[in-house]
Amino acid sequence: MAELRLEGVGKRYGGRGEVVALEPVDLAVRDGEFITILGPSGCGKTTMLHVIAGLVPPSTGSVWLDGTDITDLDPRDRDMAMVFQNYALYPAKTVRGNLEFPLRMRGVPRRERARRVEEMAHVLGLTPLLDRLPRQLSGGQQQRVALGRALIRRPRVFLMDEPLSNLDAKLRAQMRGEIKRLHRQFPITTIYVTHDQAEAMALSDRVAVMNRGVLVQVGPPAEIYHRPSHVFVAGFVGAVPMNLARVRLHRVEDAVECLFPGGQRAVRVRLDGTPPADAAAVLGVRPQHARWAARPSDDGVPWIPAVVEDIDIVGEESYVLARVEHGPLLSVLDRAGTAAPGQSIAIAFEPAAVHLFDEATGHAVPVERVTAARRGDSPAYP
Amino acid sequence: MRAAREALRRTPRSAVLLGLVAFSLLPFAWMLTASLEPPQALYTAAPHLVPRPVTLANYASLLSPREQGVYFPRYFLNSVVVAFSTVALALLVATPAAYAFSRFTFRGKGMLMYGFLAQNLFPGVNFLVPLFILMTVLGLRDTYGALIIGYLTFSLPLNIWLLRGFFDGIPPEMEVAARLDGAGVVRAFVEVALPAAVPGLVATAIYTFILAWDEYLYALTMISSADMRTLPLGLFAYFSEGVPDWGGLTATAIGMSIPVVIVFLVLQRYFVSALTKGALKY
Ligand SMILES: Nc1ncnc2c1ncn2[C@@H]1O[C@H](COP(=O)(O)OP(=O)(O)OP(=O)(O)O)[C@@H](O)[C@H]1O
Ligand SMILES: [Mg+2]
Repeated sequence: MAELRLEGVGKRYGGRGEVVALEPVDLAVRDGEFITILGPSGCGKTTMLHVIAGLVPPSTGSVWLDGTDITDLDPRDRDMAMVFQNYALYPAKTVRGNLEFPLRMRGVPRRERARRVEEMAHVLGLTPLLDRLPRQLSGGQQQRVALGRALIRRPRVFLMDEPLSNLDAKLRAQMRGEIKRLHRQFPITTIYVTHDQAEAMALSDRVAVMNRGVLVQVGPPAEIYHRPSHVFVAGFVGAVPMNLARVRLHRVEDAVECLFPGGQRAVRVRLDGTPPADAAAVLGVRPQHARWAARPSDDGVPWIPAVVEDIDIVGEESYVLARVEHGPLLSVLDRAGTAAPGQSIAIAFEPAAVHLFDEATGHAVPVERVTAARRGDSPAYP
Repeated sequence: MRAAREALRRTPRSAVLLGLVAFSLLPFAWMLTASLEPPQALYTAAPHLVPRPVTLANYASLLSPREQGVYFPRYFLNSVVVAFSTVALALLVATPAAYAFSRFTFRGKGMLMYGFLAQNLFPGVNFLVPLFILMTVLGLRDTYGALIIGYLTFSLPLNIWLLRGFFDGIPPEMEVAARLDGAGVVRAFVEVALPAAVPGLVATAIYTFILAWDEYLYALTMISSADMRTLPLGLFAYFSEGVPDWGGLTATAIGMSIPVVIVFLVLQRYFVSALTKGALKY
């Protein structure tokens, strides 16, 4: 059992607290949950992790573990283990010595220690390497030792700070699978820090997205992906960035028309509330939720004229980058693969998949999604 | 053919390197030569590197008592005691101090560090008189204590600076991991940080050892009785007796160099790794 709760935990640095590393956050992590803190460099992820581990005292708020206030508890009495970006293996100790260290510190008898080291080495495939020193190991092997050292004493909370960022892409994918498997085998409450959104999406029960010291959104990966609550989340999550464009909202009958700066109609949606007349907003559409054609068809949705500037090939997919006159550069998943730079095309958004964000605050504006297409229009998407 | 061209291409560089090696080794070689031949050979013959005739008389004379029964083994012992004590005490004090400077923040930290640096910027001679007075007051003149304490005042500041640099180069995450694993601050220092700093400790120790082993001026000021002389003082004794005894002088110099060479050969591995690590960081 290990249920972790942060209540208003914040951290400021500097003599007068002028550097805000972490704005006060509330976060509850369930027992056995795998939660990922996702955010760009410098947003306060490590700070949050260090506060949880007790390495850094919070400036405000308190940390609770299973209903006990542990804010002032010494790190070594918290029964948490941590894996670092640079592994932080003890260089003068062998793999065995590294794995054994946490047990030794906790007074586990020699016989029992040896048994558990063997067991952990077996789980991680380290058995043949037990007598090597860390510097005689590859990056992936070192990473496995670091994981093993953290897991061997079955901590109540398992903290990982960008543990895979020093590995090459292939090894990273492999270790990602390994971490997932280990968590299934040892369901320890885990807080995993990363700036790699793909890693967060693949591993987590829930993702907590952070930006500039603020916890922006917490939720399961699918929710983070499909229903970003903030323009920052929309832009940060997703292998290919979401199109984000400034639009003016124009009331038409019972719906709202989104217009690009050049006056082109982008999409028509219905909002939960009534927007102020001619309000500004940020429109978000994933490239996968847009399509293009050589010329507009009459299927009831607005078609946006644009000129192809470039074709972007990402893995097996390619994306058309097209400029709207006086407006944004839009990225559209290229299903046909026939676009050429310089070509004039028309782009249409899937009305059910657009997002609107308040221009000033960045918060999502609730969109009533199904109403945009008129009766009888059923846009076809593959 | 290709091998030959390759060799030719390398020749200029090899020549330069050889020249440099010769430049630094030649005085040593000549010293060795002089120590292995009768003193007169130095004056009579043209410069030569092969001693003629070869004799061990100079070395033998080292082992026979000179004035007041003081002779080379006694100087050697004095130097060993002083140098090793200095190294041991310097490391004992500087290592935890440097660790604290590297890992903790406390009031006056920056000022202290720059204070140490400033101390090193003054010429050592400046400290000669104050230290002489101090040692007189403490009744330590003409003892090992005077030399050891004196050498510590010269070497500790740099020891702390050097070691702090090495500790700074060790990622603190290691100790953080140890703390989370259940180790206390001291345990994390001793079991985790210290082993990682061994190359740095060795390099610093060598530096201190050579300083204490070679020092002349301060020892000359503090030491008055013949049986307290360290090797550099003993060496100088060969000049003070009218005509320098080149044979004895060079033999003593060789005897004095051997421990340094041995220490260096044994610890070279660490020394190189410490130097390169300092350069690269990580
Ligand atoms: N000891 C400190 N003193 C002053 N400012 C600090 C300190 N530690 C962190 N900060 C600041 O707090 C902010 C958050 O830092 P933190 O290390 O938590 O970022 P991060 O999200 O882990 O970034 P990264 O992905 O680069 O590791 C940064 O702006 C950083 O400069
Ligand atoms: Mg970080």
